[in-house]
Order: sequence, then structure tokens, then C-alpha cells
Amino acid sequence: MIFLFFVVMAKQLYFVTIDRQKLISYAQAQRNEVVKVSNPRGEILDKDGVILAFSIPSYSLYIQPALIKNNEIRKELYEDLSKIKGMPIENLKKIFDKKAPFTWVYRKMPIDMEKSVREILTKFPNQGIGLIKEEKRVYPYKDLAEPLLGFVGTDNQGLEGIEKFYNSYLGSISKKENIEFDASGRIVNIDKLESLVQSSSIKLKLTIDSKLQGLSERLLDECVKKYNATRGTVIVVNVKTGAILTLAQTPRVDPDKFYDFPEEDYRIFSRDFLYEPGSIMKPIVFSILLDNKIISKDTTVNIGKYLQVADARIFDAEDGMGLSGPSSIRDILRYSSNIGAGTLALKAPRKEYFDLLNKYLCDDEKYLFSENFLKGYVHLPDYKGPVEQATSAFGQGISLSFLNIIAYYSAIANGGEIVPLKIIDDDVGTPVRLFSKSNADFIRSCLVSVVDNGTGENAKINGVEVAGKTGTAQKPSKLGGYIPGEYVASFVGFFPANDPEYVIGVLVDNPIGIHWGGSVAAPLFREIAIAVMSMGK
Amino acid sequence: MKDKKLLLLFTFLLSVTGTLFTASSAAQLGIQLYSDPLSFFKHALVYFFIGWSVFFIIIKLPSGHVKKYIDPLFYLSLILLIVTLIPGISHKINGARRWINLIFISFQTSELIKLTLGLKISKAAAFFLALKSNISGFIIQISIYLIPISILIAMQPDYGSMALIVTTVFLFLLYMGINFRFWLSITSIVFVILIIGALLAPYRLQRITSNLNPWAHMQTTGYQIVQALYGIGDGGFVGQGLGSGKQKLGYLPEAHTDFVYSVFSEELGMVGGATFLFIFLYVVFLLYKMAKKVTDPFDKSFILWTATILGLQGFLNVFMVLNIIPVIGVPLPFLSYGGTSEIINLTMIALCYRFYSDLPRGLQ
Repeated sequence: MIFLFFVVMAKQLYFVTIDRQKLISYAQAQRNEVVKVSNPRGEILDKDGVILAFSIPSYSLYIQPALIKNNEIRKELYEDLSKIKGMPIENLKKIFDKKAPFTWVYRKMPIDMEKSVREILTKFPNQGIGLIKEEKRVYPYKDLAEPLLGFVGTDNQGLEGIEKFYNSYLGSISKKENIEFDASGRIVNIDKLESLVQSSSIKLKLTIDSKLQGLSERLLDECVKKYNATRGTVIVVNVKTGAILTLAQTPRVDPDKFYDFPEEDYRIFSRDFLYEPGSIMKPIVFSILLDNKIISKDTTVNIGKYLQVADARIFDAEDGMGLSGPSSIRDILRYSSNIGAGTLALKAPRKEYFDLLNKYLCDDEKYLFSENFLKGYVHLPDYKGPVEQATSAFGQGISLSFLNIIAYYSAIANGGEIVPLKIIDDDVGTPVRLFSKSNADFIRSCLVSVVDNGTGENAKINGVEVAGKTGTAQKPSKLGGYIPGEYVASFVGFFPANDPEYVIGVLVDNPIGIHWGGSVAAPLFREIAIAVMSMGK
Repeated sequence: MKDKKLLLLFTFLLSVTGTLFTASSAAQLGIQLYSDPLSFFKHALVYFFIGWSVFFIIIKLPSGHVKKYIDPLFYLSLILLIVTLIPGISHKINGARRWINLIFISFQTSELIKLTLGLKISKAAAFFLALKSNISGFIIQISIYLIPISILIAMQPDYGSMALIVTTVFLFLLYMGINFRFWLSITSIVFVILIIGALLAPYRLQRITSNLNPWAHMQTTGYQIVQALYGIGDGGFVGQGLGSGKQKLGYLPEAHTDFVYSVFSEELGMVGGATFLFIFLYVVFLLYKMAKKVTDPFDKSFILWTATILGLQGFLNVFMVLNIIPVIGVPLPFLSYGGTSEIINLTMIALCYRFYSDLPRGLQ
């Protein structure tokens, strides 16, 4: 008897040691199926802790079609479900015809839909249909700060914007969970699936000021609408901290219905679109020239009717206000003279000039932003001839992201030293000197004149000294040359001019009617600047 | 502690364990059949109380009472065996007619015959032992009962129970002091007959081939044993935890009856399984010990019969679950769900307890 007992134990020992892994894997294979279930995802907050994105529990309807053997019940269930408002009937039909062990019918139902589904489910207990608790992303202010925030897909994976870039921090994509079935196909571990859904403790705090963001968006929307423009963007930066307080854009996607919008709208325009900046490039190029002693503060240029470079002629734009004769750097900026800018640029040896552009615009780009998230694009002229040398000084034939422009302006506003721009509140960037203090201060004083008594007069605010620069850039055509009648109107400014705290950039793409940066963008800058001030900043 | 008390204690322990474990092993089946995971447990609880009521009644009865009714009981169970084969009175489960419907309970007649045949054989054995007469007379006498009983049970078909009873009888003959060579020869003859009988039904042949390599037949005849082994493997040494077994969720057929050892091992591990078997074998060992002490030939024979049939059944079941022998449908005493089995096992042990109590106290 004892011998037999040991035979039993020896055999069992074999199964629980040597054969165990094989047995377990076979057994699991027959009862498990991997299903994706959304995880708790962290919140996104603005600088004051206002919640911009969070997650709430939401219920998803699943069905196990193979399990519903009774055709009458199947039919009845189908009819009841198809009566619910918002139920995708085509899809439902497909699901009912499918003999899958497990299929989602509707992920993350709206509350009212969930209610009606629950009512129906009470009529069909244990019929292979039920609800599983998941998580749904909620953007309480709807399209506020879109597409900066971005949005998530059905499985809670970040698809665009902050949601995508900080996806792994916020809680990554939904976990793949084993759903265990019994032999008849019923789900065994529903409790376990639901316990996965708890609120996340992760919080991502942005530098965005949602009040200012909201106001800017409203003003920008009005402006874009008024000028029938394609799109626009407004950026507000605190130059002392590098914090981006506002990154507004029109049009904005609705994060709940992003699939209804063209993909172009998913992009953060100020970061993702290369564009020719036009005249707002001038102060940046001048700063570079000054810093490398190619020109000095009191360099003067004789301005004629046009500037002949090789076989091309450069004219001043219509808003050049007729500058002529010997002109200072201040005047060239004030009247936004292309001839003046081109002449100044041509003072540099060609190779050195382009090397400088490359150093300041491409190499130094790494100092501009705290996070790779903000990193945009720079594109210098492919052909580096004298014409390109002249035109790049007033922002033609050279393209970069609007955010990069804003970064150089914040360096100029901050006495030549840039505090890297940031969108995440916790980031602390080390300030980097891009331009010498005296040169930056000089350019700043010139920019005061632009607003005071130049192309940027529309940005003037009583009682506050404002510095800024207009830009009216033509839009390059893919076929070469420029698209007639299409412009990008922009204005970048900062205040208070004696010790600037805020840089505000406004860009309106393709305004119809008036296209001058000074007329389209500067007034919007003014309104937003007043808003910033009145908010006690 | 006295052997008697130990027997009572450990039998009770086994019985309680088995009854409680029904709540886990048959939960899924309960949901499927009656939408109540505890429905089998509730039934098991009823059998538990009936069984133990019978137990305590029997140990209070004078032994003479029991011995008076051996013959009527035996013939009654024989009749019931025949009745079982009549459609209408009996009912079929999984293609086998093994149960008859009494008014409130369905009754497995092959379980009853284990008890009554034991009593009848013990009576015959006592007679022959007392007279010290020729063993062949005894063999002929029990053959007269055994052959029809075997055929009747085999017709249900319940080949497992039949094999169990026949094997028990042959082991019993050894105790009777039969010449070993003679025993070996008749045993081999019967063994060959049993094998041929087994092969008459094709499914039994398949069971034998799938015993050799169940993995090759895992979708068909090897399915049950493969599922049982999944449970054993999944359980490991310490198990997945009570109630956490997965194989009982419809994957393992007969999870609550013949293959309950797999579920038990899955949830409580090899340690749990070994503990149960150890206690079970200790009960069998106690019975043998008691049989040795008892002097009355009838009492001795019956206790021996009980010990042998219970022990054999236990080993056959666990051997089957662990794929040491082909699948034969015998339940594991006390752990497998089954009303008749529970009551009969308790009755048999109660009788042993009762007969042993007749021994003068000093000798116990």
C-alpha cells in the first residue's frame, strides 16, 4: 500500500515539475484570449492646476457571439440593441454574424447609451453579452489648447500633441490583458479587468495659462474669421522663465471627434510648419551680424530705389513707407526696408554669412527649447548665392518654424540670453547667451521704434512701451517663385520694453483683403497684450 | 487514541473535506445546470447528513440485528441491479444506466452491491473458515453470486465498478488462505476474460491506447485525461488556491466526480492531494489493523473486505487521474461527489466500527 502511494506521488511529482510548464501553457492556451483594455491615464493640468484632460470610468459593451446559441434570443437581442440611439447598426449586424469568442460592440459608451444598454442587459443575463469598465479620456474644455494637448485613440493611446509625446509618462497604451474563458466561453475574470481601472496618480503640469489660452483662442478665431484666413496661431511666452503661457491655434480639432477633422488640423502649426518668416527675420539676422562685428550699431546704408544683386533687383515692399537716402539700422527696421536688410547682409563675406546663419539658426537650435516636443524645423537656402544672401536677411528663401522665431525674440527681449522655452512646468532650462547684451538691447530699442513710429504702430498700447516687428511674407509656391496674393501676416512683440517679460507672437496665414502684418497681426497682438496685462501678469 | 476513535475522526475528516470541496469542484456545473453554484454542495450536504445519521444509527444497533438481514439485503440489491437495466424505472446519465429513481433520490445500485456482496461473502467466508473446509466449495459459492452480478453491472455499463468488485473478491481469496499458484491461475484466466470483455466495447480499447499517449488523442479519447493532467500540472506543489481552479470551468469533464483529484490538486497542490491521500490510506490502514485484531471470522472478513474495496478504489481512481492506468470510471471515496457512494462508504465503515466494538475492550 505504501509502495502504491509512492507510485502515485512519483507520478504526480513528475507532472508538477518536469511536465509542468508544458501543461500550464497548453491549459492557458485553451482558455485565454488577449484583449486590449485601457489603463488609467494621468491628468494634464495647466499652470494653475486647472485640469485640461483627465479620465473617467466608462463602460464598453462586449458580446460573445459564439455563445448565443438560441436564435430567438439572438434575434431579440439584436433588435433591442439596434433600437438604441447611436448604436452603429451596420457594425452590430456584422458582429452578430461573426462567430468570435469575444468582440467589442461599442467602446466607451456615452452615459445615456450605457443606461439603455443596461436596461436591455437585465433581460439577457448570462447570454454572453455584458459591460466591461474601461477608461475614457475627457477634455473638459473641449477644444481648448488643441492641438497642443492632442487626443487619444480608443485604446487610450496618445495620438497627437502632448498626449502622444508624453504617452509613456501619462500611462502608456492600454495593457494587453488576458481574458480567461471557461469551456463554454464565458468570461471568468471580469472582476480582474475592472480592478485595473483606478484613477491614476500621474499628473502632467503644463505652463499653459488656460484663461489666457482661452481668451487668445477666442480673439484669434475672430481675427481669422474676419480676414477669412486659412489659419492662425498665437504664442505667449514668459521670457524670464521660458514658460509658454499660450499656444493658441485656429482651427482646432475637437479631441472627442478628431476623426471628423482633416489631418492637417492635428498639427501644431507653429512647430510643424516650415514657413518663410519675412520681415520678422530682420532683427534676428541683424543681431547675428552685429554680434560678429560685420555691422555696428551706427552702420548706415544708402537706400535707393532698388538693390541690384547679381541679375536680381530687390525692392522695398509697399509698406516700406518710402525710406530713402542714408539710413540707420533703426530706420531700416522701423520702415522694414528690404533694400536696407539686403545691403547689410551683403556686407558679410558670403561663406561667412551662411556659416553664421547655420551656426545661429541650426546649431543653436538645441538651446531654444527645454523639450524635444517643441523642436521645429529650420531650412536654409539650398543654393547659397548672393541673391539668397540678401533675401534671407528679410526672411525670404529661408524657412523655419514660428516657434523658433519666437525663441530668438525671447532671447533678444531677455538681453540676448535665452531661457529655453518650455511647455512642461517642472522643466528648468539653463539660460544660454545667444547675443551680447548690448547688441540685444540695441535691437530691442530699435523694435520699440517700430511700434512707436513705424510699421508696427497698430500694436501700440497707451502707457506701456511695446517693442515688436511686423512680417508680411509671401508664400512660396511648390513650383518655384511665390503664390500671387497669398501672404502670411505676422507680428512678434514684447513688453514692457524696458524690461521685457512677455513675448507674444501672432501669425495669420493667408488673410484675404488686407495682408500686412502691421494691419492684421499687430492689432491682435495688442488685444492679447492688454489681456496679459489685465490678468495681472 | 483508540483505533476506533481514530477511525471515526479521520473518516469524519475525509467526509467533511469531500463535502466542502463539492462547493468548489461542482460550482461551474451548478451554474450551468441550475444557475446556482452551490446546488451540488447543498445536495452533498444532504448526503452528508443522511450518511452520518446512518453511521450513528448503525454503531448503536446490536450487531446481531445487522447480521440477520444479510440475505434479504443481498437479494434486494440483486433485484435492484436487474431493475436498473429496465428503462423507465432507471435513468441514464452519459449513456449509462446506473441509477434508479427512488421517490426523492436517485440511487446508484452498483454502490449498494459493494456493501451487500461484502456482507454476503463475509458470511460465506465465516462459514468456510469455521468449518475449515475446502476452499473450492467457497469459490464455487461466491462465483454463483459474482458472475451474475458482474454481468449485470457490466451491462449498465459500469465496467469500472465491475472490475473493482471482481478484483476485490480475488484479493479477498488470498486472505482466505488459497494456494497461491491456484490463485494465480484462476486470476489470470479471469483477467484474460475481463480484458476480452473490455475490448468488446470499442471505446474501452480507445481508452487503453489513449492511456499510452493521451497527447496523440487530446481532441478525442485522450481529452479527459489531458484536461486532468493540466489541472495537476497547474496546481504544482501548493496549488492555485481553493476555488481558483480553472479546469473545473467546463474543461475537465466529471470534475466533481471521477476526476475530482485533479481539481483538488489544482487548487491545493500536490501537498493537498498527498495529505488527502495520506489520511485516506491511514483510514484503510486502521481498518486492516482492526481486522487483524478482530477474532470473529465474519467481522474479520467484512472489515477486510471494506478495507480492500475502499483502498483499491482509491488507488484505481488516482492511478486513472494520473494516467498510470486507462480511464475506468471509479470515484475517489469521500472526495468524489456522489450521494450513494458517500452513504454506502459511511455505512461500511460504520459496520466495521460496530463489529470491532464487539471485541472485548481489553483487546481493542
